Amino acid sequence: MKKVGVKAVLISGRTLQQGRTSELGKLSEDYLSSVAVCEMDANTMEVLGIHEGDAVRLETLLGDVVVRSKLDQNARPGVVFMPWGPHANTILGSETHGCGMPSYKGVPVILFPAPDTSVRTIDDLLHLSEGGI
Amino acid sequence: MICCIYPREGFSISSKKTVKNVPCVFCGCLCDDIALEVENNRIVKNINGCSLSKSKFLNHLEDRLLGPAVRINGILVEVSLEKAVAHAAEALTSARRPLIYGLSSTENDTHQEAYYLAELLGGVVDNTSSVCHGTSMIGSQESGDPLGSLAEVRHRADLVVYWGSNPQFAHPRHISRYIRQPGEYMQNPKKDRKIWVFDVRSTATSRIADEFFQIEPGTDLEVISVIRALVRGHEMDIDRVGGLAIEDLAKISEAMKSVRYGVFFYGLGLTQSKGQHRNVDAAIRLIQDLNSFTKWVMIPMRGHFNVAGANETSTWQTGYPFAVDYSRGYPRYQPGEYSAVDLIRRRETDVLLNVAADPVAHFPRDALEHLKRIPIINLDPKRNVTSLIAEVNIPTAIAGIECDGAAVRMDGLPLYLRKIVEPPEGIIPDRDVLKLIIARLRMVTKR
Ligand code: SF4
Repeated sequence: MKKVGVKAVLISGRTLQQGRTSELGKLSEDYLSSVAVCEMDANTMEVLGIHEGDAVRLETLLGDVVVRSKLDQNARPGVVFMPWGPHANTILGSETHGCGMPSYKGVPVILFPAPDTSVRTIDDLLHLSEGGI
Repeated sequence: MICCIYPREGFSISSKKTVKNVPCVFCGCLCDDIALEVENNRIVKNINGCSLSKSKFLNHLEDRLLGPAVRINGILVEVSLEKAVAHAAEALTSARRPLIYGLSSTENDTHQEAYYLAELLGGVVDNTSSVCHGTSMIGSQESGDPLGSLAEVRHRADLVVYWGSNPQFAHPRHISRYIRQPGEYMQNPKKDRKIWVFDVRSTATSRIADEFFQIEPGTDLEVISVIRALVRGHEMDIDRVGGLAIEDLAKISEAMKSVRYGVFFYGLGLTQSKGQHRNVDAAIRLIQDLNSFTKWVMIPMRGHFNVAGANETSTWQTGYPFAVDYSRGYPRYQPGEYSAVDLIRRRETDVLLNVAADPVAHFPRDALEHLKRIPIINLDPKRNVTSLIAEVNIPTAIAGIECDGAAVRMDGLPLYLRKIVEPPEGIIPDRDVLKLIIARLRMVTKR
């Protein structure tokens, strides 16, 4: 497995696809494939040695999660994006610094290629998060 | 217990109607020009709605929770509504620190019952704004609320700023309905009304904007503070801030001072980024400064269709917009103390009553760890991630589709929601389920 990681800042947020598929069913395949992704620039993909659609592992101080990579032609290196949802939450912290709001944006993250690793379903995430992922 | 619900018996296939001027119950734009075609108690066509709206209305019968269910020996078992309510009431009365959470995807009358229940229980009531625009509330409590209305923006604005907001994805008709439409004092909005986007990444909105200013993540406060300083005529002794040249920021501040009517729409890119309520606080002060030169207003881009309503009703009834604790018998407010994520993270909450939200899908990992250990009573029309681990699931009617009510648009305008179709057999609105829980609780506790 390639050991090279790429440092970035993770931003999580709304996407059209995530909003639309949540109405089809939060447990549907469509929803899963719309939230279990990480959008990044072409350079980052090149350094990681992956192509669009390949699995990528994101690691923060809180944990790690494997999702599909998605090319964002307009993105700059250093900032990656994940749609809101159970996968992004797996690696986000709940410290609110006294204002009630956890850090959903601007979280330091390291990306690694994750060949032969599959993206976990929401059911899996719920069970696995008990003992760490 | 779960699947797509098919039309109820008693509706003939020929029962068709068109309902006009329906408010869309997806995002905070609450577009009230939706026309729906209904056949046999099912919405089959949505005219005027964006793709999010179409997805919500056309799939209203998909993936529903079919009936009340209670977890017995780890398995959800279908029970009568009465039994589910009794189970919920028992869990709530035996809790030491119950939390009522959600409320942003339902209507205002439900909120009223939720506050009453929180008071009866001596519990905490919080809405989903604590993880979206709660920091906007804190910011405006410190600095004021220079709010404008969307109609005024459409008629007057000649400069529209979106800061940390991507309406093309989150509020798809915001630009087409309010910004690109001509108004009383704006005949040619495509030419005379400019759109500027400030964001940390290129988005679908930044790509259609007249100007895009890409700032470095976590520098909103610095950038806004420098614009403020420049607006007030101060000299800067640095060359760049947040990735932008001071020279460019000077042009930005001059342009902001010289428009006729400016509007500052801000999203979670501002409220959730480093600085949080301080970012909003700085933005409010910038708008106040700009009002010494010309007219500026600011409007939060509220996400869920009635999250603004949750803040308003909470303020009317408890005195505070979110994170309200009744444990001493009177309402106390302290974000960071009584906000949902903090209570759950600190393992204080011992029962969660979730109304029309999905905290298991949207709360960070260690909050989720605790949610898995406590009883959750989940009121929602559809299967959601929370329903998977809930101890009690009570399906409810979809507000604005299967029951009426009121909701509040992102600019504070209350709108009356419509009942378009009948809810599935035996399914009642959130407000009525809460009333049943309250009645049961009063019966048990003799309060
Ligand atoms: S912009 Fe929002 S309120 Fe308007 S139709 Fe789309 S989802 Fe509904």
